[in-house]
Amino acid sequence: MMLNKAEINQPLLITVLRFPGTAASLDEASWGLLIRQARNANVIGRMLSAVEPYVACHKWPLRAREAFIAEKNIADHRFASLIWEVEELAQILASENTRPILLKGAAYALEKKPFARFRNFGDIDLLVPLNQLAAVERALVSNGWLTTKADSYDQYYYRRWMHELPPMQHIHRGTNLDVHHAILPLTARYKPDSDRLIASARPSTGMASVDVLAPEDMFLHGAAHLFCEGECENALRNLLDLHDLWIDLFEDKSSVVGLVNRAVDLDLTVVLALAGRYMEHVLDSKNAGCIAGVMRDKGVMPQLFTWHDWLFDAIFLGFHPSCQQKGQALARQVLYLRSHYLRMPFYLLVQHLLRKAWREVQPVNG
Amino acid sequence: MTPARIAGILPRDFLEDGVILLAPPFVFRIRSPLPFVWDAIASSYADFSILDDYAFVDFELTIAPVNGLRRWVSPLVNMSIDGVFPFDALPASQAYPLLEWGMNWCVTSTAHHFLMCHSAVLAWNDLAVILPAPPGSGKSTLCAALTMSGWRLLSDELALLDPESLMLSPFVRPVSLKNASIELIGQRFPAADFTLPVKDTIKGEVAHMRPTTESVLQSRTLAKPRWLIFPQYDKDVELELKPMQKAEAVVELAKNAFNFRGFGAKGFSTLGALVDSVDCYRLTYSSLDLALAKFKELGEEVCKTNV
Repeated sequence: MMLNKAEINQPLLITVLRFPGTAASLDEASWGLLIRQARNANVIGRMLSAVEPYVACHKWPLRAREAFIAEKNIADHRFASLIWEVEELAQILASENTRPILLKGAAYALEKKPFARFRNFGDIDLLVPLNQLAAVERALVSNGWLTTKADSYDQYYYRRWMHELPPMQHIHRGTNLDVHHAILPLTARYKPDSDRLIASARPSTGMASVDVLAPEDMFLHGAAHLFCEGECENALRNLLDLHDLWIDLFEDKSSVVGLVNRAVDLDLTVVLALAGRYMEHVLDSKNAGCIAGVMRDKGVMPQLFTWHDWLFDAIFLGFHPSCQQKGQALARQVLYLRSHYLRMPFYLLVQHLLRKAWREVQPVNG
Repeated sequence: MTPARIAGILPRDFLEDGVILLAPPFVFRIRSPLPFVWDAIASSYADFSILDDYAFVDFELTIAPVNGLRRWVSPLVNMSIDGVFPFDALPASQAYPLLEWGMNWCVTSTAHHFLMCHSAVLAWNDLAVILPAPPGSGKSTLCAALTMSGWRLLSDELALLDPESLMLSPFVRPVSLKNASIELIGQRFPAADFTLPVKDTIKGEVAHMRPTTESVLQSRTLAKPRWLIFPQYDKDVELELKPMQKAEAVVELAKNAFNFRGFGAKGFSTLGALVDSVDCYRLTYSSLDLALAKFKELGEEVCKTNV
């Protein structure tokens, strides 16, 4: 396959994600690099399962085959454990007459999305209505889900400004749980209405006792998380999630119109435009250009800037030493600041960062 | 072409590009600007092969001094593994033990094509004894002594069990010895060769013993599990080898298996099948010589019945 110059300068991982067939011509050393880059970006299983249909496993180097076996060995039990935890959570919440809405990785897995098989998730994310949050928290605490933030300022910060309870963890099993009442902070620049999200949620096809977001909302939440929070390490993984949801749900043009309308309703046009742009830029996702086209037709296309490209192109390269480029560290810092800037108004941000800085310099027992 | 060996290459040759070290079944590229790290590697990996740039590299480790004012007072080093820093920075004197721990971390955090147990593994005629044990049980001492007494070293830390074939893969590495064991093994086996002891690590004083040449040459030869022995050092008991219930052995082994939980039901059935295929014992000992004699007896007994 002929690659143009820009593509040759891409990290190997991105090239293979875009054109999995190129793995056929890799030598042993390049395979090693590919696996190491994928491990760093947390997408080994996802990458290898994309290559498999193009290059049969028996043509891979032994260590690549073994890496795939390793992923398969832990994937099945990860899924079984998730189902077990979610059933448990659904039961606890049922005692408060609440149906949890599963978000992100847990939702993809529960919906049996094929791409979710190899996806790691550090925690289970739930969405519940704000007016039931206190009851849900009490029920969870009395069933062994305890807060992980002992510091009183952290507790205050989460409860006053954030879109979730302070993170929880099960006292015996160590499973991490985030209970959300909104998908972005209360103080954030964009304000998707939780009532609308909850009203459109539907029973999960994988488990009748819990809900998942409507397909459009699932995609928009993924985009909001990726482009508003400063979680750089998993940026490429999260963009792949969007790509996979996109291929799964929206490839035809009529469904894109629905997606754009929903973004307008939820105040998420900027994140949708960014999602379209970088799916196309980085992963060459089929018909991703449609998003901008439909948004322009409807007159809802937000302005994107050159600095967006500078920022996100650097982040999506990945953070393996072989992918690092000049300015990447700065881009990462800027993304962190931007995520805070999007999260809360300036005067709150200054208070919050001063508070955190003060805590850093204080003696531990002070 | 036979791959080059570490022995005979001067440490300064590695300072620039590092070295691609084959420690079957894994390949590590190691980089460090610290000459004393290379002295330790040259000593403890003398019989290992180094590969050229065309090799498949599993992990890239860089151990480098931490910049900043502290480097003038008490310098620190940290370790990057493919861009990730899994450990806190440590005093520079601990750079080599840090490298060894990092190499273990690479494997335990990724090699889930194996069921991995925290244990020493040695073999007699390709029949393996698995010695699982928590720190402080005398496992490493016993492992070093057996290695120096004609047993083939597979690993002093990690049993790599293939869940399909139930065969054990070697992962031959220097044997990590702590505190009094260093002198004990050094006196008992004058042929044993150690890296310079490093004091005040989190595990106390640490030195690494070079694996025997025979073990390194056989580092691709799988071994079949034959014995599962849980050792416990006890100064009041000379030697006691007690058969152990299989059910108890499965539970004890599961506690030592790093990725047992990740494997789910498959992990349980694999450990069950493993324990079914071996003789299980608890070993309590204070006399190293009696323990070695007992192991020899076990080995020879099995070889006799196999003939």
